[in-house]
Amino acid sequence: MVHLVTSDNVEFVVDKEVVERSVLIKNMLEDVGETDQSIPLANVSSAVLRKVIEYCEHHRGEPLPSADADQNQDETRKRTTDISEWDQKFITVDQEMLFEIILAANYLDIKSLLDVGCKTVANMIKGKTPDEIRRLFNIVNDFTPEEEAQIKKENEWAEDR
Amino acid sequence: MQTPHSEFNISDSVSDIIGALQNIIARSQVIIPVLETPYSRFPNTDHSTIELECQSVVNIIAQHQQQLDTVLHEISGLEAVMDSVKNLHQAVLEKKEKITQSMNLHKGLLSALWRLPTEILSQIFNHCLPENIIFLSPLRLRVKTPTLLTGICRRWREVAVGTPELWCRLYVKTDSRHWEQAALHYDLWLKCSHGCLVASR
Repeated sequence: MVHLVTSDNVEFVVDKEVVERSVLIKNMLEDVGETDQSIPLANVSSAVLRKVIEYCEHHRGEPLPSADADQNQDETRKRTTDISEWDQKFITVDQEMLFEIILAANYLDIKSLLDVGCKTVANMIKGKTPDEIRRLFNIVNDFTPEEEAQIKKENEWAEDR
Repeated sequence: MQTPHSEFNISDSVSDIIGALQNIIARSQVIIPVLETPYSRFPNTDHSTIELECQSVVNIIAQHQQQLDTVLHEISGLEAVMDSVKNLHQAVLEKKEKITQSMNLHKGLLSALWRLPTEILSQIFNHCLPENIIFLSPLRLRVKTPTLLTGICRRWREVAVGTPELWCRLYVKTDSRHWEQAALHYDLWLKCSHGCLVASR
């Protein structure tokens, strides 16, 4: 069993096989060997780690994706909407949690979870207008009027033809 | 811009209006006047009697006319008040919208979205691209990805323009009518590709 301590000081005791879906933790464990010492995860809160562990538990035993698995960009695109039913349900969380899961997956180096998170955000963006995207993510349009005019000029041809 | 003090006063006056209206409405009741007359029970009988008491019936009609005028006046007064209340309601809804917008703006500043590293945002953008090359056709999509991503905010523009893989597929459509705009568009596209191999159709 592996002891993990989150940024809000909550300890999780997790199966080695489960936690090793995180390449970061896997490498740590390989470096330090068997230990009872807790691994501090300063960048992950307990609420987020709980979700991450849920994901790792579900995907326990599945082969880890290789580092260059997604090198082919076209293949990546083809798989964009291809999120399994369980993963879709798992990732149906509020927006802040979604971004926090992505950040945690990136930090912990869990490629498949990072992929699910990024695809989910991409699917939220697809088919929306710039205004709809800004509203969805509370993004402020910080372009100057000159930049706005330039963007309009760039997009005109793309929009209307 | 309204000062916090004046905003407080407006909220205060709306609350006062709501309180006063609730109070008045709770105490109000519409009293229907006594409309029964010796003639109302049998309106179709014994017209000879009514003819004799014609003046009396005329007086009743005059009285009812007065009552009707009063009630019409009340209705139009209530409608005017309701219009004012509707306008006030609209102003309060606008106020709510502005507060919500400002709150969302500040929530957005705290959002984890802004902590996503550039490479993750690039990855998200890459997933936004259409799955099939044919959908890059300007004919098919209103605003095309990745061009769309350059028009959201400065950071997204920087990341989208700085991600050559987003620009490595290009659908070229020859249209002599708009060649200048098309040339600008393709030129920008190729610049964004940063020398990345571009597949064109």
